Amino acid sequence: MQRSLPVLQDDEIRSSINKDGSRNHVHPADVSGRFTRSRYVVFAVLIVVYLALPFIQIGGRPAVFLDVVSRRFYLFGAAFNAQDFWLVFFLLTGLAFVLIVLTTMFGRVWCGYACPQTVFLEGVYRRVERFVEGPRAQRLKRNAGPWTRDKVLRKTAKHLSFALLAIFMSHFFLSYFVSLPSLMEMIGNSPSAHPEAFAWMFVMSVVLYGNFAWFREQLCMIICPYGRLQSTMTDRDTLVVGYDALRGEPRGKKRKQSKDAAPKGDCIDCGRCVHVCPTGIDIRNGLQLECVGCFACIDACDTVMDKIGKPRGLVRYDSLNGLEGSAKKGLLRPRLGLYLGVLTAWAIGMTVALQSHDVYEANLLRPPGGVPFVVRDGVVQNTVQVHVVNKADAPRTFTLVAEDGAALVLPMPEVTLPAGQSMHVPLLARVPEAVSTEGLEIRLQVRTEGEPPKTLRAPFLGPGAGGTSER
Amino acid sequence: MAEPKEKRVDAIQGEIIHVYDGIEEADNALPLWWLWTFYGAIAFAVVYWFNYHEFEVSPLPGEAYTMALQERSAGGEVSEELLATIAADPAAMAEGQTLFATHCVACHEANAAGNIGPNLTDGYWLHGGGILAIHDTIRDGVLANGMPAWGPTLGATSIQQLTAYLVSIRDTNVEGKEPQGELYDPDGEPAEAEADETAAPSDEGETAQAETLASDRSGA
Repeated sequence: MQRSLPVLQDDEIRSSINKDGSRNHVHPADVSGRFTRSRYVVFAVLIVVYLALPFIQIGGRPAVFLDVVSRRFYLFGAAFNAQDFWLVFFLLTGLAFVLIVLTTMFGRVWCGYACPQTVFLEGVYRRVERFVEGPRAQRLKRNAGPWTRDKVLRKTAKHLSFALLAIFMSHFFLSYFVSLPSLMEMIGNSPSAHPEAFAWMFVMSVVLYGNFAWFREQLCMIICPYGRLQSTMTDRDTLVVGYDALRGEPRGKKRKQSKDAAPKGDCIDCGRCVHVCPTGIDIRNGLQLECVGCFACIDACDTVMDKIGKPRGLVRYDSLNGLEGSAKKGLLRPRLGLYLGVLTAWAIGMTVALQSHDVYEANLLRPPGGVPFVVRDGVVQNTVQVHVVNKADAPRTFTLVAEDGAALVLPMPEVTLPAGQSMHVPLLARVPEAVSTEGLEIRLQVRTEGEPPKTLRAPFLGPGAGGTSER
Repeated sequence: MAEPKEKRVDAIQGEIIHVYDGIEEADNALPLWWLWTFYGAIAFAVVYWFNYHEFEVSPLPGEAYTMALQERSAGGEVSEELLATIAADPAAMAEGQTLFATHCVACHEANAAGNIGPNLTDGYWLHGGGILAIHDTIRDGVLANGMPAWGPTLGATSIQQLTAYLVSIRDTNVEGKEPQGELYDPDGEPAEAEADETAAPSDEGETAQAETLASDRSGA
């Protein structure tokens, strides 16, 4: 299907990259309307949540605390050890899948409403820029003009604010990994007392500043893979930001006098939808990967339609079928049924996985570098260790009980481990040489209060077992 | 597949240079920031190559890891004087006592009088009773007897502190496991750092064990 629309050939309006590859900084105009209002509400809620999470305590721990140094991860009251890392599979696939389903149904609402890039760029940095440098026309004029005192002052104020915001944000980001009290302690100390944390903080601040002050929409257009994937996730029934070409074309300035002129469409080619776009595209060219679903052009066009007394919705949130006047299928699509099936399978898998997530682990190991067995005075001896991990958030006592099989010497039949700690409990299996046969096992049970016991078993090694002897 | 019959210039994408299955390819300039990142990566690759592979100025990650591990378990040169200094430090000795209670009591008992492992409070030592010998035995372990090498696990400082504690309880003669090994005479010839197990077995058990080891190796 080739349908060509007239493309705005205005020198003033270009995409964010010029023909020679140089950057064209986008200066989106102010916009107001129902979508913009709802976005700012969501931004505010999300920013409050991001900033509050390190402060909220659940069960004596921060709600989200990814303690990388001691490999303990606290998520809303639940504690996970490094051994539980495989559960991340469910977290990541779940997040990705929800994103895919959302995209298929509602287009790029994630980009427009919830992506941290958007939340902080539109909700914080652009607001600061607008406050310091004024509306779009003023910004364009000042940028093109000479370096006056006013320009220097305003640019300095803006970039200073941006840098401070970046430092503030990276501190909060770090507090997710080191917890608030130790962050406060580090802030009070000299950077030389914690060079690694300081280096992280410094690099992160620079990256955040560079991103929000300069890089901006380039991240969404060129680095983020999500926009590139949207063509595989959307179909003709996905809700997207779109332009109703049937109603709008042919576009042109509205002139009441010339009654004899050819009838015009509703688009008056005012360029408002382009001026408000944060990625510098023209939505009238159709759905593009640069469109981050910010809805600014819808609000802008609605305002213009209200002014010229035409119905709203020339640029609207609708499916391609809807925009072209075809029948809409809505949610009755085979694709969504399939997604529902996959979602069910995922939910079952995660439930089973979380059920099997024990508060402790116990495994039989042979000490690294050790010999498999020792024969002394007619007794074959195996040195083994029980690696016990207490993954719970409280101290826990473990009891080791020998079972049938090789005779065990348990120097530490009972160990108490602090929260999140592990220990290699040594033990010996001793069997007279005559008894040491193929198939003999080291067997013991690990018991702890309120949990099902675990039976550990390993083959007993000796000259008679394992076929190593030629004596 | 074929070249477009007529070069089309797209209003948005510019000149179309190639069409395949209806998919059009234009040849626009890359973003400059992207290009500079790319050139930067090339420059970095050159520096990296000369640094790591050509002149070997910096150790590769694997080598660096091995070096760090060695540093940690060996902790540089350990002399009798250094260990004696540490042994005289009450704080180090207290630290050593804690380490002993955590890692050693399982086999040597809380009072160090021996259980699976030998009695550490008598004057008899299987692998030498000198301060250096004790240090090395803890660090390298006696794998054949089930004593792990603690060097990589605990690190050099902890090994030294443990040594300090053990020296402090040496010859306190707590009632426990029968003496094993040879009597250590602090005034006599300094004991060898570690008895060579296969060449000079100190008791009957170790002879049998050495034989088992030998047969195990040949049979495997």
